[in-house]
Amino acid sequence: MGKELIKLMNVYVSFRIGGLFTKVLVNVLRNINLIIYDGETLGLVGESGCGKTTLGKVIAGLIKPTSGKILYKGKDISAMTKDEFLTFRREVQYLHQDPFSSLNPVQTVYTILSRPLIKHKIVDPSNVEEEVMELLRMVGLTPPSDFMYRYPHQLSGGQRQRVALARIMSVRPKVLIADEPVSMIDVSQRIGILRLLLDLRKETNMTIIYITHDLATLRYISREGRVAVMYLGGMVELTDVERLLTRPLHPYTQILLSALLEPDPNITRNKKVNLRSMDIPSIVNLPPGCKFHTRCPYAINGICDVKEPDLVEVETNHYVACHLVKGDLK
Amino acid sequence: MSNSELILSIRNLTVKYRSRRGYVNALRNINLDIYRNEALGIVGESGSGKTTLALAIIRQLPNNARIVSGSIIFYDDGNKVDLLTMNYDEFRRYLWEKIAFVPQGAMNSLNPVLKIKDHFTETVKAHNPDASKEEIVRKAREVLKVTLLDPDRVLNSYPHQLSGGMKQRVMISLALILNPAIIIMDEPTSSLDVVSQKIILQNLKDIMRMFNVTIIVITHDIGVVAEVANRVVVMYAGKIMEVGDVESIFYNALHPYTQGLLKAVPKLRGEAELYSIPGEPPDLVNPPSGCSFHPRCPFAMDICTINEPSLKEVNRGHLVACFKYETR
Repeated sequence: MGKELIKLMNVYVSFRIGGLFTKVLVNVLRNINLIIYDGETLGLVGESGCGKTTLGKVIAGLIKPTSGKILYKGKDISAMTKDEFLTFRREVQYLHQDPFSSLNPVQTVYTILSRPLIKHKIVDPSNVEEEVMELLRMVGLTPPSDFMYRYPHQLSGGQRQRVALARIMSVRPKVLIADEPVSMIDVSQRIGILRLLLDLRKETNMTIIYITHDLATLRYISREGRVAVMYLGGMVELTDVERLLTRPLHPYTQILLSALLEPDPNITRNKKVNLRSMDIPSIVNLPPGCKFHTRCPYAINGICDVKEPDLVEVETNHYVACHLVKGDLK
Repeated sequence: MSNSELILSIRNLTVKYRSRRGYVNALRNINLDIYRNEALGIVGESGSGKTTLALAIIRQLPNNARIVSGSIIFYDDGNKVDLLTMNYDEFRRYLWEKIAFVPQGAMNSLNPVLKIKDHFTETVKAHNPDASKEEIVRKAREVLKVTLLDPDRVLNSYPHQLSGGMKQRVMISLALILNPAIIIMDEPTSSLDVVSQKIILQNLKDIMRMFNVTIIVITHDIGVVAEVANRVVVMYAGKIMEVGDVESIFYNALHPYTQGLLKAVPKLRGEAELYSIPGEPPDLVNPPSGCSFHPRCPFAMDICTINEPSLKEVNRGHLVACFKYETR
């Protein structure tokens, strides 16, 4: 693994929601500790509402943590000078889920791609056009002249996502945070986008943080990478992708894997989901103790509903937050 | 399937949408038989015409759509009726009583100011004004239990007090309340999280058995089809490319598009090999000549660019529209 690039220390995020008199504090992220290494691919996995997108935005500096610290290259991002912070924001880029709303509809592809080049003085003004063409080639929109003067509405979902990626690549990022980048794209074009991400990573050695609910897609993008599983704002398991798929230890991860549909009737129909309660608790009213105990088939009364388990290294590079797993392996 | 009883028979159905750029060929010459008590999966990418097909069956096509030709015969206890030509007032009785539709993102179709209980009452009273409140609530409890909901909590809740997964299950219960013969579901689980999705789909099989209902599931997700369907229809560019039972489609796909689609789905096990269908989906205002898939097909022959293949039975119950299989 490379050097420590980003370090999250005891990060909490809470939002106030509700009306004027019914305001409640919602803890969206609770005590996140995570080190992201230079050049790795890290997956953030969980169901909707688990906090994975919020975590991605915290890492990108788009959401300020309520408490806790984020270090980028060893520097606390909240204590950075303006120039340092701008460099950080340029080096850590966020690829949005929805390519239909992330591109300005009244700008041509050329404008969309040339703006950051000019603003950040990436290339000499006389070379902007050449660079835009190079970026389009890089993301597989060839010949570039066919795409340069088109508007977003003239492109398919896959092509738009490629333009969004080209815009990100124009500022030479070190870290790319990709939030469900293929979930809104047609099935037949998804693999193309994933392959492009893999190629870009190989070429530039950038770090990728891949946010998804789909472990199968994550496996394509990062076979050697790590993955963090999240549930109701906390991290429940952190290990290598292959190990998570073959040896999931947290009961929630096991259920997530048995719930994932597979494109094979014989396999998928034989997987059954075994839960105490099928509905996820509301994040406004988090249960005490382990947040998963209300649904966990193995929950022990008096332990799991009382104390929240810490994320512990139960075997080398395999962290699990579960009272049961800790007990078993020690 | 050949000895099963027909419930819906679609013949030569062609639908176009008027658009600024010209006519969009949303459905082209669709022929499809649907059998009683089967779970039919209709799979295709956006723009393949799968939702248009559903909307045509329930006669809810948008105003800019035109049915150019075709018939949809519904077999109703020995009677044959053409859903497309029957009087609309008469058809409205069929809707929900005989054929229920759960639209995409159905959970947003609940009325936010009505309790779930009132949704059931309104639905039943619209078809059967004499139904008593007690009877409706009793029936509602029954169908809510089937979808694994707690009737005591749900009946007295407003939609915003329920999660997305729960609302989706309420919609399925609502579709069941009048004992329809067919339920059409458009992307029943696409907006739900992984765990709710699996539980709802597992549950659909029990529902079919208990209510003797035919289910048509429309989806872009191959996994959903693998989970629930007995028979699968693969659509592309407004046409049916392949029809067969679930084993034939998944383990012996014939159409190059189906083969590509299956290979392009990320898998949890086996080699993580990357494959994608080359090219872009076709423009339906100017669909390609010949077979609509030929510009992207690795096996395209000269004839594919000129003539359009028709759906032919290759193995028993396994139909495919591809010239590769026409020489035999």
